[in-house]
Amino acid sequence: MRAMLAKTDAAAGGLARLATTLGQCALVVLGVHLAADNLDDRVLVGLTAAVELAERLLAGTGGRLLAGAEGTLEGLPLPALAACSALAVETAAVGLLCGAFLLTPRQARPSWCAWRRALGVRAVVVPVVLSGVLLAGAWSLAMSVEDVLPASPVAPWAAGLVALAALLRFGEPAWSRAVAALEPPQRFTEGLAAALVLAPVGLLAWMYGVPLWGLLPWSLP
Amino acid sequence: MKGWSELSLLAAVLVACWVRTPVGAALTGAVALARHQPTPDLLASFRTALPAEVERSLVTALVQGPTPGNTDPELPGEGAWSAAVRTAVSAHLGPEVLVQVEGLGEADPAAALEIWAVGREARDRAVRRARASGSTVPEALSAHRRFLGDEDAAAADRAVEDTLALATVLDLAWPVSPAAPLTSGFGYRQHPVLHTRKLHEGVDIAVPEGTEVHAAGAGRVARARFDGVNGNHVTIDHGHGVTTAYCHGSVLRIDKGTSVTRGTLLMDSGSTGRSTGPHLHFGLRIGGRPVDPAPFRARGAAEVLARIGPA
Repeated sequence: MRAMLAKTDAAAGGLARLATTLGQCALVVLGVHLAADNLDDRVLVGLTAAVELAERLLAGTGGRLLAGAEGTLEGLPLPALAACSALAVETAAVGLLCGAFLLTPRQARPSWCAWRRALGVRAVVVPVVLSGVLLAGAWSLAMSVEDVLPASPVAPWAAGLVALAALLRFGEPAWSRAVAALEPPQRFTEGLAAALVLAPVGLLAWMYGVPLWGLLPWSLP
Repeated sequence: MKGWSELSLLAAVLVACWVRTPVGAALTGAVALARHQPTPDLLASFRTALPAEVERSLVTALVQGPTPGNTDPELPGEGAWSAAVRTAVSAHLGPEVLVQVEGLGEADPAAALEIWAVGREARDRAVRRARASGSTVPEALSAHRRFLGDEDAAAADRAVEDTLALATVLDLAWPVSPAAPLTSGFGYRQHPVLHTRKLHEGVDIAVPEGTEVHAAGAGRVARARFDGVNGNHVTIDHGHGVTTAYCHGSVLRIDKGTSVTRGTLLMDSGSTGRSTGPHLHFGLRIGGRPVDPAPFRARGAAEVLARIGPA
């Protein structure tokens, strides 16, 4: 019995590294999904405004190009386009953020001097967005833990402890690895394309994925 | 004991991924499909028998016509248990559900439907979470529904949005006199101008040029302008995914962004845009999908009126 326990314990130890990596990726997936939950609605607002502007510019004979039938704007599959765009952004954000720490040596530690040497778009966007996403992921985890626990005043605290443990075991190492991986850029704008994908996700994560703003005297829109 | 904490946390995070993202839903799609109970189609729900008193009130409003003087102040907005909402709950979810939902004692039907669908506890948690994230109006559905699990959010959407969309449609009036004949129905047809087979996403109502066209229901004007196809046209967003469109007017009488009630004057009819003669094109969409507005009002009204007599 004791031998079997020892073997199981050894197997668990051997799986720790894999579990950490998977846990880090899963935390990012959770955080990005919480942040991007209403991204499609926001994209839809932007698409609708863009189409309306295009229709105004092409008013008259040109307007017929966009008008398939009565109800021009309604004729375009804008909700489907918005949903696909949001899904693409979400998938890309998960890939970019996971790539930021998975491709780095495990023992790498960030330092203030190294970060200043790497100062550029990427060095600003990656730490800010990743921290927001990891916090959002931890909150999403806390919510799901709270949902499965029996209702009691203790449940939110228990869920919070699990989230904190996930942040310490998965979140902090992932963030450290990603920041340590930053290298001095050839030019300041290096990584701008990735930043354009990550920035809205990061903004939404900080705005709606962090359960702190309710404590402030003002509120978000 | 190295590794156990990571494995335990990984299990928790993976379960969370399963519950709170579409990943789990996608992986279990086959199982879900096998268990799937199709949601009753909204139109099919509408066509189930309406209580006579509801029919009578609807038909009365219809026959009198939605003139500005006939704007019914009793028509519900958000948060009212109207006959239309009760009928929609009964037709879409079942009479027994109406009893359960009304038994919850909530003044707002949207809140009551959501509590019925996901439970009061889950809803309260979601509201609390929305408040923690800084939402000013956590009770509003759009503000807190994202904090429900994906499955609960979908259940709430089905119960609340579908039912209230049906209720919204039940409250729509005909935009001109119901006596005006339909000259072209909804569906595929040979387009009179383009001479190609196209989906006609509404009905054409024969009315003389200059006839007043009124809002079919309360809402906000999403569009009010001219283009080459629709001419002068107005689109109204009634909420819950229901929109109506009024096309080919001669003169617009309202601006984009204006809030309207049922019967508000929108425009004078005409023959602008892609049109062969004076008429009103009236379109109805539910959840972005064009549906035939005729069964909701005109044709059904004549039949109902013949059966139950004048109110």
